[in-house]
Amino acid sequence: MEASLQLPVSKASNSLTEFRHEVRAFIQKELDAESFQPDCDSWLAGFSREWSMKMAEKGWVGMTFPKEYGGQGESNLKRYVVTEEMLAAGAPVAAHWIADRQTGPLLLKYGTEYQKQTFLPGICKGEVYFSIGLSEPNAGSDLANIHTKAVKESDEWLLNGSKIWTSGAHLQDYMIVLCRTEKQTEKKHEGLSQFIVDLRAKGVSIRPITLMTGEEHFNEVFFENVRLSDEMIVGKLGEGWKQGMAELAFERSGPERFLSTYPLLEEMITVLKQRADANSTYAYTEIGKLVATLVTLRRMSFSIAQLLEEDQPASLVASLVKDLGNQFENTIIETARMLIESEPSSHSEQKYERLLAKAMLHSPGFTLRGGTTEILRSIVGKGLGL
Amino acid sequence: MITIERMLVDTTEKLFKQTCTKELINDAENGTFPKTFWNELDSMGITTIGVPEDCNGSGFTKLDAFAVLKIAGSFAAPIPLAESIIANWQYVELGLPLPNTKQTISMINEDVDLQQHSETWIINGTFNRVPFTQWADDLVSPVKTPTGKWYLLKIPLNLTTTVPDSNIAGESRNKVICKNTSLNSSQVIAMTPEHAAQFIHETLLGRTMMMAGALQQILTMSIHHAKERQQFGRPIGKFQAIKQQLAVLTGLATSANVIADSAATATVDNIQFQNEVKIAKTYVSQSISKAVPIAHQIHAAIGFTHEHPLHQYTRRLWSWRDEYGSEAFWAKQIGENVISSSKSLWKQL
Repeated sequence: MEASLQLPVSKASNSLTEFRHEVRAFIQKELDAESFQPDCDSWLAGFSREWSMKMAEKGWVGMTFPKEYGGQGESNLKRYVVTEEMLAAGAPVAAHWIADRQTGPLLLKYGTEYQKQTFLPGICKGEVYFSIGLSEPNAGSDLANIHTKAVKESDEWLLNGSKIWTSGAHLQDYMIVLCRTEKQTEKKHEGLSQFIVDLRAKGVSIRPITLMTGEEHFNEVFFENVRLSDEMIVGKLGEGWKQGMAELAFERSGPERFLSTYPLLEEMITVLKQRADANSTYAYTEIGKLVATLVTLRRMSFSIAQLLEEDQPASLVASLVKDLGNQFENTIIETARMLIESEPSSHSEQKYERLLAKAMLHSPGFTLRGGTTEILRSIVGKGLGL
Repeated sequence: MITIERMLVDTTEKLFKQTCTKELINDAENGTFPKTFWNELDSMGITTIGVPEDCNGSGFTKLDAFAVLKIAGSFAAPIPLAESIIANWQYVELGLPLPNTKQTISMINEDVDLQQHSETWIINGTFNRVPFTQWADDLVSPVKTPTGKWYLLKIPLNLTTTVPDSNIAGESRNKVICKNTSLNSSQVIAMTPEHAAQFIHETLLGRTMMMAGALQQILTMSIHHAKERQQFGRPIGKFQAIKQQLAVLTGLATSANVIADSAATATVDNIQFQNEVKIAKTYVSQSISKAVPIAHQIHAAIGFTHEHPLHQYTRRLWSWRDEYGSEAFWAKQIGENVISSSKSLWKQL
């Protein structure tokens, strides 16, 4: 098999398992106190400042960042455990999700000392939130075709253009904006740069986009002569594409790529336990298949976390996890329908029916966000040398 | 953590590559035992891998043995290698000397009747779908008596009647009939239920590793074919439709290998090992119904011929996924355990 697709299996150490129990105990306490309602897709839709700050108090937001910037200097594996436990519980982790997963590591790798000191401590306190500024109305999968641009005028940059499909921008503080700082040439991946943009700055306007669910998570964000100082450039001018892509292995291999509908699976099993007639061979077999797939995806995702911890390349296998994981998220929904006779309903008294409705209505997003299935498969194809 | 002995794997792979050719596999299917190949493996100590050196084995770990079985699967090796290795482990773990003869195994048999008459035991019953009996000397199988006791039987095959049959890859899967077969006390050894469970799960994992290896092989062959085969003036791998299919196949083969390896590294803890093996057999068997059609679709008509070696792997995958229990069989057990537990699923994982 191609070397880039070999994935050595890693197993959790005893101390990591102990840590998992600590996280679990915390979540159980909160569940008992009813401080949150488990929900599907909670890393996108579960925005709770209180919850993010609670997690930060435990040191679980920005936990991999060095202590000097407010973090804990912990391993990616510990972060993996926290994210997995939070998602399995359907906890509202959306507020800090992007800052913790993407912005922090980006700034640590490419940011200036000023940027690290300005933004990282706030992220770690669970108070400062970031969003991703990549897609534009005419640049989705063809991301390098973006038109938002920053032009230098005397000692400032003027940002003009717009970003679309940015989750939570109306609730967040900053955005990492990928924009053009040089004219587009044949090599369209060049001449792109990343800026930190204050979403409350003059010239920024945010228009919510109502999802098919009726909820508002997505936004279109417009920039009209937004003034940016040199201090807000992340890394090197013109290197924005490369810098952004380096983080994709984290983004694509994480447990959020296969646990978005996990709360539905757990609830489905709870319902089956209560219904004697549902305990058929068919139900057992279908649940067994889901469990086998879930365990496999966890082994893959954890093994990738280990590779990333060792600074080894993993972007290809990460794409595989996202593709397989998204399929699994959708299989849970269809299996639920086959096993339990009911109708999805957002306002049902039954938790199961509410979760089913939420999972179903959010499902089109699974295979779109973070790279569509088709783009992921193209990346894998390229990696196979086709 | 235990790690795989890289040099052993490389040497074994080299030998398989040189020796386990398309012709050898075809000949075996037609009934010719690949004797030279077998003897070479035997002299290299591959058949006793995972048996400590002070018990006359070749040392290494069980993890190494499972890695070797993956190689055997990736070359469609038509030999009772998994069967011999696993039988040898049982002998040694039950304190018996290693036999010089070739072994085959049967996984579980509850309807075999076992009667003790002082020093002799009389066996009556049928062992179904036993691999390669014509090339083995003994059949090794755990048997559970109606009173719940477990025994490991070592039955000389010349004392039995065999009814030949085969799987759809042309590997023999014979019926072995014991009619008043008389065994002595060195051929009927009491074993604990834990030992029997271990035997069963090692057998299961052996087949799973072979499937993982064969999946890797059909992926490699498909990638190669997509790069070589030209249509419309360019390699078919340049077409998005083919690229997308190959990416799906890559995902299936990679994930199957991860869960198989994960089970193989769990050999230290018994319960964890058994759970992981059931999960691995379920997942890998399940992935075959998607993987094999893709490999054939990419190869198109040439892969449908006897001339092309693809079928040596796809016919095996179709056979192996159902051997020792299909994904439906094992998934049912996994699901039943999950649903009947008082704990949430997440806490059971």
